[in-house]
Formats: sequence, structure tokens, C-alpha cells
Amino acid sequence: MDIKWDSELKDWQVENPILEITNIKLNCDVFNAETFDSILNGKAKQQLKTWGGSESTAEPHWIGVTHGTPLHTDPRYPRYSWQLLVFVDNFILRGKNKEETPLQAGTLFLLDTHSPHQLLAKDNVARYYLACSMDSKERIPMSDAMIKLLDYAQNNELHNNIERITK
Amino acid sequence: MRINCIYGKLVSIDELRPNPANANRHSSEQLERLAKILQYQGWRHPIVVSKRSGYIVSGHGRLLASRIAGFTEVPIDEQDYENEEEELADLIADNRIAELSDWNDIKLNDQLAGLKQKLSDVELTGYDDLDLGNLAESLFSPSLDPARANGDLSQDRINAVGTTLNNQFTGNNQELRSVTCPSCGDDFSISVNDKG
Repeated sequence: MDIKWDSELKDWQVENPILEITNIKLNCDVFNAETFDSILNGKAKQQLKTWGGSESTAEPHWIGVTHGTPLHTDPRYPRYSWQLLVFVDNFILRGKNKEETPLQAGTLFLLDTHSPHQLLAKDNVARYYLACSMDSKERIPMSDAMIKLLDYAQNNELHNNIERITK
Repeated sequence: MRINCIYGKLVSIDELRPNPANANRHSSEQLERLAKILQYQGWRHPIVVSKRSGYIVSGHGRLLASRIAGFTEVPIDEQDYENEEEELADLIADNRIAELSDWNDIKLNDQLAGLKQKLSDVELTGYDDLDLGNLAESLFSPSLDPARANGDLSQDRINAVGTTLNNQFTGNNQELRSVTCPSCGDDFSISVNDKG
């Protein structure tokens, strides 16, 4: 749900939706746009898709974004989302207070998806964002999330369960 | 003074006799907070008094806090004890068992953040603003400790995941291996099948 920048926060929303963050040395330094475009149309304007995993986004799955997002919330999904970045162009993540969080491959962060957030391109060529993600109603400790996301990334190819891609 | 619990009778606080065997001590800070909570919540549990000895078994802190709160009477529940040992064991266990529970800090932090917006005074939860700050800082500036994780978070494991992902993007089954340049210290990937 898109949010206007001048709208008031609800009492359960926070100005900076990044609740926890760390960076690991993932050593994932190869990215193939063709592979990504075979799943998402990277040439199209803003898209956010999830695929893989199971029926539930509570299980680890892939999330891909092209060209960033407007300021928005995801009220139909669980509030908390751990995301381990596999590849990201020059994007930052920010909330209502516009405090910018830089992103890179290996960044692991916990997002409050019910608070306004925006993935913003910092230059004209930034296009791709790919992460392994899992959602939950309650906050999961960082180490538990990291283990599950690493397991998923290692054992599930990008094209696994592509039929589950969101419309 | 509101009483929200079942109790035997109301007695003057001056009639109650603290148990001389009580080894649990109460700081003035704890009693101030407890007094606020008693005023806000009323009585949720009566003070337990032994019929055998006449001493308080459970509720020494509440008795002291009720003085700060300005109460003159308190609800009590008189209970039977077989002997001094049973009475002392209950007195100790009443304090000790609560110490043995553990907090889910993440859930607690969320609950306190919500209550802070709605309660007139966050200390009605037993926590003050400093406690809230310390709790939030411990959660939002986490140090990831692989040794305490319930699984493998070693750099070797993470490197293996990176290699798998690199293989997917290169579209072949070449095995890539992360290496660190002994000269400059930079990390990069090499193919172990690379003849060049």
C-alpha cells in the first residue's frame, strides 16, 4: 500500500523500519542480469516479486525488486521480514524519517514491513535487488534467521518453485 | 485502595509481623516502583501470613511499598504450615522461583514500546526509561555471536553459500573458491577448474 510522505505515522509504526542490521562477508560477487531477467522483467519499471519457498512467506524464499519502490507498507503480510541480500545495485532503504541505510551483498536486516519504507535507487543505472527473505508475525533472533536464510540460499536454486511467483 | 483479589481479611499494616528469617532485601528503588504499581493496579495478591507463627511468608515488599503508597490497611490470606521448615521453604521459593524464569527480550521490547505510548508512566510495568533504553540497545545493536548460534555460522559456511550463488549466476557447475590475497588482503573468487 503506497504511503504519502506527509501522512502521519500510526502509533504502532516507526520512523526507521530497519530494526536490526549486520553485514556478513558473503563473497557473492557474480551477478547475471540475464538470469534475474528470466525470472523478473528487469527492464520493466518498478516491480517487487517473491517466489520459491513454500506457500507461506514465513518460510525462506527469494525476493526480487527492479527499479526500487515507492514509500509503502505491506499490511497483508506478517510484520517482520528478515532479508539477506545476495545482490543489490546502488540502492538505499529508508523510512519516514528519510534516514538512509546503505545496502550491499551480505547485508542482513530485519524490516518492519508495516511501517513505511522505500527502496530508493541512488543513481540512474541502479536496477536490481535480490535477497533471500523470511517473514514472521513475531521477531526472530538474528542468528536463527541467518541460519535459515543461508540454508535456503545454499540449497535452493533461483528458479526453484518459480511457479509460486507473486503476480 | 482497590482490592482485586480474594483475601481473608483486611488488617492494619502495623499489625503485620515481618518474618525475621526473610533473607530477601528490597531496595528503595524497587519499593518506589512497587508502590506506584500498587496504586495503579490495586491489590492483585494478598499478603500471605502463617497461622502457625503469625509472620509474613509472602509479601514483605508489598507491605513496605504499601506504606510508601499511603495505605493503612492491607489484605491478607492466613495459611496453614505444618512446621517451620515448610514455612521457610515457601518464603524462599516464593522469591527464588520468579528469578529462574527467562525473558523473551524481543517480545518484551515490543510490548514495552507499545505500553510506553499508552500508559501515563512506563514504570507501571516495573521498567523505567533507562531499562527500556538498555533493552532496545541490546536488541538493535546486536553482536552476532556464531559460537552461540543454533547452527553453523562460520565464515567457511558463509563462503560455501557465496560459492553456490556465484555458480548459479555463472550458469555452470564450476566450483568457485573464495581466497584472500596474501599480499593486499582483498577477497576474491577463483574457479578451481580454471586452467589459466
